[in-house]
Amino acid sequence: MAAKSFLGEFEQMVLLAVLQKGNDAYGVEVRREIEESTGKAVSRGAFYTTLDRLESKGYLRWSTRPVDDTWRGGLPQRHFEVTDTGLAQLRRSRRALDRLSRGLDEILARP
Amino acid sequence: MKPAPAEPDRGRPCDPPAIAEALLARILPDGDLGRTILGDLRQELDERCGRVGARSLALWYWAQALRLGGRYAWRRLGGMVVGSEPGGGRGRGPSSARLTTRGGEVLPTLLADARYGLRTLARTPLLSFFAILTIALGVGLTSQTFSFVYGSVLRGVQVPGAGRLVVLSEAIPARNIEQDQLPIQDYLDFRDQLSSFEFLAASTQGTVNLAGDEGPPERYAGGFMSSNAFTGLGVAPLMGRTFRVGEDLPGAPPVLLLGYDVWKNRFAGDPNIVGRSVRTNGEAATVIGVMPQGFRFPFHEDLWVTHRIDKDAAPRRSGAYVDVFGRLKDGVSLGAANAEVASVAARIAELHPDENEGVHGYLMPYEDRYMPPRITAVLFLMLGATFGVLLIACVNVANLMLARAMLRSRDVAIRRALGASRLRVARQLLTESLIIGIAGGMGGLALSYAGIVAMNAAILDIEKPYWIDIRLDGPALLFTLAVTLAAAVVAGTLPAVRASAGDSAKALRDETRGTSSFRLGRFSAGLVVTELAVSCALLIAAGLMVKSIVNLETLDLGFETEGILTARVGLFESEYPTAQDRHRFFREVVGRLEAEPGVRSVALASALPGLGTGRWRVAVEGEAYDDPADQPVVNGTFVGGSFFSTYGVTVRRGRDLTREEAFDGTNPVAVVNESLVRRLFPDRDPLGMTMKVGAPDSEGPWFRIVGVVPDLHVGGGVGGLGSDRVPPEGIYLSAGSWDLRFMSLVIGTEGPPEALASAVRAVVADLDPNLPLYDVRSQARALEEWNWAFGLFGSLFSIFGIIALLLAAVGLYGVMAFSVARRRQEMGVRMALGADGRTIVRLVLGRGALQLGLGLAIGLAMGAGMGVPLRAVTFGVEAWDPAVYASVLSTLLITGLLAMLVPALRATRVDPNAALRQD
Repeated sequence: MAAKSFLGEFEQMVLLAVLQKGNDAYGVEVRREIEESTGKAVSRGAFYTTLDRLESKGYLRWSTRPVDDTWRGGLPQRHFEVTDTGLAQLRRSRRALDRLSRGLDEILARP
Repeated sequence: MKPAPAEPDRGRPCDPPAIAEALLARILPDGDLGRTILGDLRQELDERCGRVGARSLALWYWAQALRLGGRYAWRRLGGMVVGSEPGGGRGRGPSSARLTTRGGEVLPTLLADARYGLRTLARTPLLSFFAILTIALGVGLTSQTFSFVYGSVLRGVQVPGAGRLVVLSEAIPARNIEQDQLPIQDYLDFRDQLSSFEFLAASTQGTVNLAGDEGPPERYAGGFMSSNAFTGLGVAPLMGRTFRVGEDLPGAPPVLLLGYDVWKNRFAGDPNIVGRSVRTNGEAATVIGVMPQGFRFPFHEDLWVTHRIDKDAAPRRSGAYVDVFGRLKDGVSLGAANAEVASVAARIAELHPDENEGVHGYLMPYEDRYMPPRITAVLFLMLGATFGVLLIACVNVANLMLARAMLRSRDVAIRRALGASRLRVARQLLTESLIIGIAGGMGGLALSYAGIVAMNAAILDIEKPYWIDIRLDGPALLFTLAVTLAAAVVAGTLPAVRASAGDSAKALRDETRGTSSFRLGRFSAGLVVTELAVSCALLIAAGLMVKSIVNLETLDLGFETEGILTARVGLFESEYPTAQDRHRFFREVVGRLEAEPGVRSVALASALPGLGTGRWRVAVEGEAYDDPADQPVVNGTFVGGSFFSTYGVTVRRGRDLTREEAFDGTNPVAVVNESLVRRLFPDRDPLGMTMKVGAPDSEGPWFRIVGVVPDLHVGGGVGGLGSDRVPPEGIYLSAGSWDLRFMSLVIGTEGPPEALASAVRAVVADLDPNLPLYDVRSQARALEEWNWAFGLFGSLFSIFGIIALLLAAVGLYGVMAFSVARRRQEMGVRMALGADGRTIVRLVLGRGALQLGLGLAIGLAMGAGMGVPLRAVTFGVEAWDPAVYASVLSTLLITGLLAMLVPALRATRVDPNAALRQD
C-alpha cells in the first residue's frame, strides 16, 4: 500500500525539514524550517495533521523530550525522526522526479 | 540538543489566555500528542512575548487556538465515519480512528448522516429550497399565530394570583338583562358579606385631565378605584404608596397615583414627585406614588385616582355603577364562590325587594370580561387554521422526500443488501428531513418575527387590555421549536419508513423493469385528499372574512364620511359646575368654529355615527308598560347644531333640529329614524308624538318628534364586531335638553379635514387653555379605526387561505406529475398498443378526479364547521354563504384540474419507443 502511492508535496517538505533539523527536529523548529525555505506561512493545523498522517503511515516517528517547567509551561516537546520506510519513500519520490526531469535541465535551471 | 529558550522576561504576562488553552486542551488529542502541541504554542507565544503588547499576544493565541481547535474538532467528530457509512467516501487518515475514542458512536454517525444529507440536499438545490420554503411558511404562520394567541389570551394579566382573579357581574334573567357593572350599594354589600374572596374591589374607567406647569393640559385614561384595589392586588408601587382605606370616601382629599409612562413623560421621571400637588380633573390632588412600568390595571390605565362615590347620593340602581373584581381565596373553586355569590345576592334582594328583585350575581375569570370567549374561540380557530397550513406544508415536503427517496430506491436497496439495517437507512432519510426542518424552522422564525412586527403595528392604536403583548418570547420560541421538530418528523417519518421498507432484491429487479414495487399510489392519494380538504376549509374561512370586509366597505352607511373632522371634549364639574355653564361652553365653541375659514358647518354629538351609540330604554307617550322589560330599547344619540346637514343626511319628513335647540332646553325635540317609525308608529304619524328616555314616570323631559331621517349605520362593539346585528331603531335628541359633559365636535370642512385640526385645537385652547381636546381625526379615519377587527382577522385569514392554496396547488402538481412520471413506461405500452391521447388523459384524470372529489367533500364539511364560530368576526355574511362556497369550490376545482391536466398532457407526448427502452 505504502509503496504504491507517492508522497504529497507537503509531506515531502515535512520529511525533508525533519531530516534537515536532525537533532533539533522539534515541532516549532521543523515548521519554521519549512516556512523559511519556502518563504510561505505554513498552516498550523495542516502541519500537525500531516505529521499525524506521516506517523500513521509509518514514515515518521516521534518521542517526547521533557523540558524544565519554566519553559513552554512545562509542557513536553516532540522530537521527530524519519523512519527507514520514510527514507525509502523520499528516495522513491526523488528518483521519480529525477527521471522525469531528465533532459529538462535547460528549462528547469532557468531562474 | 534543546534549542536555547528565548529568554522569557519573568514577570511579563506571557502566559496564554487560560480559557483558550483549556478549550484547546479539550479538543486536541489526549496524552503527549496534545500536550506537545500546546507546548509548541506556548513556546511560540514566549518568543513573541517581548515584541508585542499583551492584548495582541492574547489575540494571536486565540486565533491560533481557534484555527487549530477547529481542525481537530472536525477530525474528532468526523472520525468514526471512515469507510463505515455514506459520509466515509472522502479519505480520512487512519490516524483519525484513534481520535474517536471519546465521542462514542452515535454522534459521529449522526454527523455523517447530516453531512451526507446536506450533500444530497445540495445536489438538488431547487427542490431543497422549495422544501425549506414550504416548511418556513408553515412554521412561520404557526409561530406567529401562536405568539398572537399566547400574547392576547394565554399569558393573561400579570398580577399575583392572576388565576384566581374574577369579575363579579349581575344579571336579571327574567328580563334578559346582563350587566357588567353593579350599583355601588350592591358592591358594598357583596364586599362585606362574601367570604370566598381575598379582596373585592371596585373600579370605573374614565377620563382624567391633568393640568399644571409641567406641560399642556392632557387627557389620560384613568382608573377610578376603590381604596382596597391595589393592596388587594398585591402589586407594589415603584415609589411612594398606593391608596389607603378611606381615601375612596366622598369628601376625602384627592390623591393621584401615576403610571410609569405618565411619570416618565409628563413629569420627566421626577424623583421627588411624591407629595407634589397636581391639578387633576380640576382639583388639586396629591401625588402619592408611581406604579411600576407595564402596570396598567384594570384595562389600559395611564393613572389612578380613587372613585370617592357617595353611596347615599342616589338610590340603589339609580346612582353610580362600578366594575367589581376580586381574588378568590386559595382553594376556593369558581363554582363554590358562585354559590356564595348567589346566596348573598338573594339576601340583598330580600332586603331591597324593590330594587333587587330577581337580580342574580355571577363570577367569571377576569380576562373573559375583556376577551370574550367567542373571540377567544376565533383566535384558537386561527391557530388551528395555521396548523392546517403547516399540515399541508408537511405533506408537500413528505411528498418531495418520498419522490426523492424513490428515485434513490435502488441506492437504498443496495445498501440494505450490503447489510445496512432498516433503521440505519430510515435514520439517514429522517436526518435529511430534519435538516430541511431546521432550516425551514429558522426561516419560519424570521417570517414569524416579521409578522409579529407587522401585526403589532396594525393593532398599535387599538384600545386593548394592557396585558396583551405579542412578541417572540420564551414560550413562543419553545413552541416554534416543538412545531419545527414535529413538522420535520411528520414530513420525514412516512417517507423514511416507506423508503426503507421493502424487499431489496425486488427493488433491484424492479428498477430495471420500470414499474415499481414502491407503492406510492394509496399514500399519495391520501396526501392529495388531505391537502385539498385542508386548503378548502381554510379558503372558506378566508372567503367569509373577505366577503365581510367587502360588505363593510360597500355598506351604505346612510351618511357622508368625507370632509368631516371630529374631536372630543369633556367638561368637568369643578370647572363647569352647572348645566348652564356647560351649554354656554358648547354654544361658544360651536359659534367660534363656525366662524373659522374653511368650515362648512359645525355640529355636536354624544356619539359619532358608525361608532356605536347608547342603547336606551324609551317610553312613548300614552303607552303603559307593566314591566320596564316591555319598554322598547333603541339607539340614542344627543345631537345639536347642523348634525344632519353636516353628515349629508336629508330629513325625509318634518324638519331638522334648529341651531338653538342644541344649547337651549326649553323645547325638547327629537328626530327619529325610519326603522323606529316602522316599529313604534306603524299606523300613526310620528310627528308631534312625544318620547322619553327611561320609564314613563321618571324625571326628565318628554321629547317631541319633529322629523324623520333615514337609518344611519350604528356600528358595533369592540373593533366594530357584531355591528351587523345591532337593531337599527334610532332616536336623535336635542342636546340642549340634557346635561352633557362629554361631546364630540363634528366639523364639516371644505378641504381635507385634517388640515383644520390645528385651527380647531387653537379655538378650544383659546376658550379654555386647561381643556384637552382628544380623538381629533376625520370621520373616515374614526370609522376605520373603529372597525379594526374586521381588517385584522380578514387579512390574517386571507394570508392563511392564500398560502394554503399556493402550497396545495404546488403539492397537487408535484404528486400528480410524479405519479405520471412513474407510469411513463405503462403509458408507452398503452400507446404502443393503440391508446390515443384522449384515453391517456382520461386515465390520469380519472384517478385524480376521485381524490379531488373526496378532498373537496371533506373540506366543505370542515369549512362549514368553521363558519359558525367565525360568525363572531364576520360582517353580514352567513356561515353558509353560497357565493363564498361556490367561488372556493371553483377555485380549487380549477387548480386541481390544472395540476392534473398538465402532467396528463405531458404523458400523451411520451414516445412509446423511448419509454419502452428506458432503463
